[in-house]
Amino acid sequence: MAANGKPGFGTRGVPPISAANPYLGVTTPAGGYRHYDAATGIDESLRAFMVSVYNIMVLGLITTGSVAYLVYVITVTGDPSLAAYRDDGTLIQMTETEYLTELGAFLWAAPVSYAVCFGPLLVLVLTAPMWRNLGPSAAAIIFMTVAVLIGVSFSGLALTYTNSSIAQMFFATAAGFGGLSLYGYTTGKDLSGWGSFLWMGLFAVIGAIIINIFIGVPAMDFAISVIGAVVFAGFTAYDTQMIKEAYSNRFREDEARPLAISGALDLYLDFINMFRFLLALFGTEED
Amino acid sequence: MADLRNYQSRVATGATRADTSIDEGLRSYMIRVYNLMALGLAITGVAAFATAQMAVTNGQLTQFGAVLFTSPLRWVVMLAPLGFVFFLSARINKMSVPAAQTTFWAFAGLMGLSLASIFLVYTGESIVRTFFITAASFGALSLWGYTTKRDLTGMGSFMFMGLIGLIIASLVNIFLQSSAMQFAISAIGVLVFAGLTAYDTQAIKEMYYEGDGEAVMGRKAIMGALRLYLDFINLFLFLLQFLGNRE
Repeated sequence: MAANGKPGFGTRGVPPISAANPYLGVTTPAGGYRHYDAATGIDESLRAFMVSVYNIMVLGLITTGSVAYLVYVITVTGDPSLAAYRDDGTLIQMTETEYLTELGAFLWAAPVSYAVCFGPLLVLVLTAPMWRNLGPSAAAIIFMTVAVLIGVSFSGLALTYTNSSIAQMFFATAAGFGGLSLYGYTTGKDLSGWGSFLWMGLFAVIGAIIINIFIGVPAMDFAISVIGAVVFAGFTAYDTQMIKEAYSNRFREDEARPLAISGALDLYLDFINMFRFLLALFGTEED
Repeated sequence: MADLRNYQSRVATGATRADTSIDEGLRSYMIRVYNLMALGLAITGVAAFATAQMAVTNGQLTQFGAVLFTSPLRWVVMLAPLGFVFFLSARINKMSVPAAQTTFWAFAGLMGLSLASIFLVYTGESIVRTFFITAASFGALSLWGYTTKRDLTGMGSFMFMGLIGLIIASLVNIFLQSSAMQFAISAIGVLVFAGLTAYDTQAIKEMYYEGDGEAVMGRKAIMGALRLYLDFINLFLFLLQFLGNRE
């Protein structure tokens, strides 16, 4: 936590470790007692906290992936005899070999498709103001709800992109994410200045997406995806450092658990969005 | 969550909000922000209109228009504004105030080139009408953000999640290709940027600090103007999808 270039905890009011007392415990604002090993520079409690953040995040990703796969399997079929019919009696064919089943036709037609499309947005927005006061179990439920809903939305990706390119991009995103998060965790540089930069970038990307709805240039989609991926790559490193800071600045010991879940949600969303833009860039579309 | 993103600013600014008496320094700072933003919008408008006039005659692209919108130069036109936004927010603390201001004008001009394409899609009359509707709602929202005693910092995480949710929703529409859903996405976009207008106004107000020197104050005003400018443009673009008449 040498965010200010000082050794040890660079946060407010915490004494640096002295060489004379290598096992100096530091009293946190929470009144807790932190163990740290000056010989290796590793703070055990911070480490345990960050491990729990990553565990929760990975659990969210696994949930999203499983739900997406499951929904894809029950909504899409390669067998025309299982496919659903439109009102005019034609089969609902999405690609050369993929048909929608009855369930799929239900899922991707209004009004259910609106719930699929806007469900994640609704849950994220409605719960955003609550996070400060949430207990750990409520936070976990909300996080899992978001992960499941995004899984349902993402099941449609398999209709647009080939399965192998989705898998490829997932692993590419995971590798990129790991590197960036590690950078955010270990760097001595203070990344808080990136906040406004990334925020502006996000605005600009949204603006570009809207402009491109009018003019519809495929090349611009490409540009938007490049910048979108860069912005969320930046957010990954930035959020990792911010989560670390928030843990050190917490006031009570019992804030750690909800903080771990909200931090995991942040990183999860960074991952998902980075994946989405990378897939738009490098994914192979089905015919 | 985005809560974390606001952590520092909440700690740093929480104490000052109670003071609502009229403060001359704050007032002149805010007027400066609005002037910069309005001038930026004026430059964008003029540049967009002039470009559209030059690029199209009788419904056909002129040579100039072809160069701008179909040659590889279109990449520059499309990406330069984004580049400027990144450049300005990354370098602002190392630039002099006049340099930052010039960058902002250049950005506004380039934005005009990019936005010229909307004149090719929508009738001039509907663009002007949408502009005034945007201006009126922007003014009201910003005024509310300026005068309200409510703490809007909580709205920040709300709006951030809204933006993330919009990106996820737009993904679903990639394969659904439903125009009704596009319409719903625009409606939510309007709400998000309306909220951001009020939120940003209060955040810009909170950034003001009496003891700042001229250079620091100038930079804050330019960054504030850029934020409000982007809110305005995004609000305008989302509204145009409802109110614009296609040519």
